[in-house]
Amino acid sequence: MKVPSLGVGIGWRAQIADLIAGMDALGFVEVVAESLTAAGPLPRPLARLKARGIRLIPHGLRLSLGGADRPDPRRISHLADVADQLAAPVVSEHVAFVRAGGAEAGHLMPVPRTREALKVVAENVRLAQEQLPVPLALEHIAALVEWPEAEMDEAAFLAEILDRTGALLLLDVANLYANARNHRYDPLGFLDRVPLERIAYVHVAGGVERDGVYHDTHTHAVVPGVLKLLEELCARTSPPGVLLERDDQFPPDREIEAELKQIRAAMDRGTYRRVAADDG
Amino acid sequence: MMAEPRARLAARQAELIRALYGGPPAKGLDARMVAITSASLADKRARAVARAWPALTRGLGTAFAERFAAYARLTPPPGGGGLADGLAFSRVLARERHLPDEARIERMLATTRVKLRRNRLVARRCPCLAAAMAGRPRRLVIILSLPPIGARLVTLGPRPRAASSTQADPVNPPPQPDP
Repeated sequence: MKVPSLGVGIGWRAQIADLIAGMDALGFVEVVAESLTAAGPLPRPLARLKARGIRLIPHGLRLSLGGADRPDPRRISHLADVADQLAAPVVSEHVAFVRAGGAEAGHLMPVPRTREALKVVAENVRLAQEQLPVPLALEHIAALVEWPEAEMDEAAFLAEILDRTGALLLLDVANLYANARNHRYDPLGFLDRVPLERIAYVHVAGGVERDGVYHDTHTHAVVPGVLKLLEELCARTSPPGVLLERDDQFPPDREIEAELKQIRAAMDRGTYRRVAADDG
Repeated sequence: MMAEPRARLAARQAELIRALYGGPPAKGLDARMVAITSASLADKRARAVARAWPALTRGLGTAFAERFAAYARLTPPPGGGGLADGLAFSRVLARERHLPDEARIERMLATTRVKLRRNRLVARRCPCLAAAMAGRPRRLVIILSLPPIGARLVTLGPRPRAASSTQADPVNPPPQPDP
């Protein structure tokens, strides 16, 4: 179940393929699973990264593991095939739903955090795990809407799903920052209550505040509060990998490089605190 | 045994999706947060459609944002990303006679190769021929799509400026149907 050390990585997008191809300190990349067709050959830029020994991890967006329906075996099998194709050590998906009642939501939507929903999600996750060749890591999402029927907070809900399924954790410090800020809770309390030893890797992404609401856009620069949370995380544990997600409205290459540098610096600050505390 | 919890969850989740796309408010949810979520979903989709449908986006110009938002806030996206969403959007525009002239060829190219089936993008497996009068001056545009090979576009009629009469498909990236 142990995930190999991955280093610092970036979400692969066609628009920044050249930038990524030229990065020398790249640890791993994440590829949107639904963008690949498992039958054909890998797109050339990805095949080159794979040949360089860079780890490729499929990131699913549309399994709808938090959905009311059991996950479609064809979608799971596509994710499994892509994992094989990429020789991935782990695959990731979300605790979220993307469709219901025959309609697509358009993006990842939050699950009502009830005991009843917890059982459904856990069963869905186990169904996916049965078909997957490698461990599954689950990511908690950023969401503006909150279900009034919630019986537990995010940390408890997530920890319980991981506990029941044995899944790994994809900890997204940007999602944590967004939710903690918009729903006014303490993000450090979340870090203290989810199983950090189960982290497969970490997501970092940018966002923006509009009218008092923080949007986890993946199209803006990473804000200091997110980097601070990454530091806090690394002061508590040493995550196997940390990955920057940038989806659109790409800035000049040097800005992305600078963000990766900031990520490494935040990790170093946290690691330094942890080691110093251990020594003291 | 799980049927009932699943049914209850399905009803609640469908309620949120309806609320996101112009339906009645979902019980107990903050209407402002639902509205903000709905608007950001539409923005995200607009960017994906603009990438997959450059001529359509160019053709609508400043009207693109408003027209797309009007469509996207009421219509959940079909499966298949920006290409699928733009196909559905352009169908609405065509029906309302708002499809810009320069987007007609782009739409023809797409419709000869892919289609929406049960709200999901699928590649056409059979050869497909389409023709229309488009451009200024009006020219006959013929598109022949042979699935394993690709699409060919031929235009006949008075030449506009220095444009070539025959060209390979420059318009659309290959479709990525949902798995």
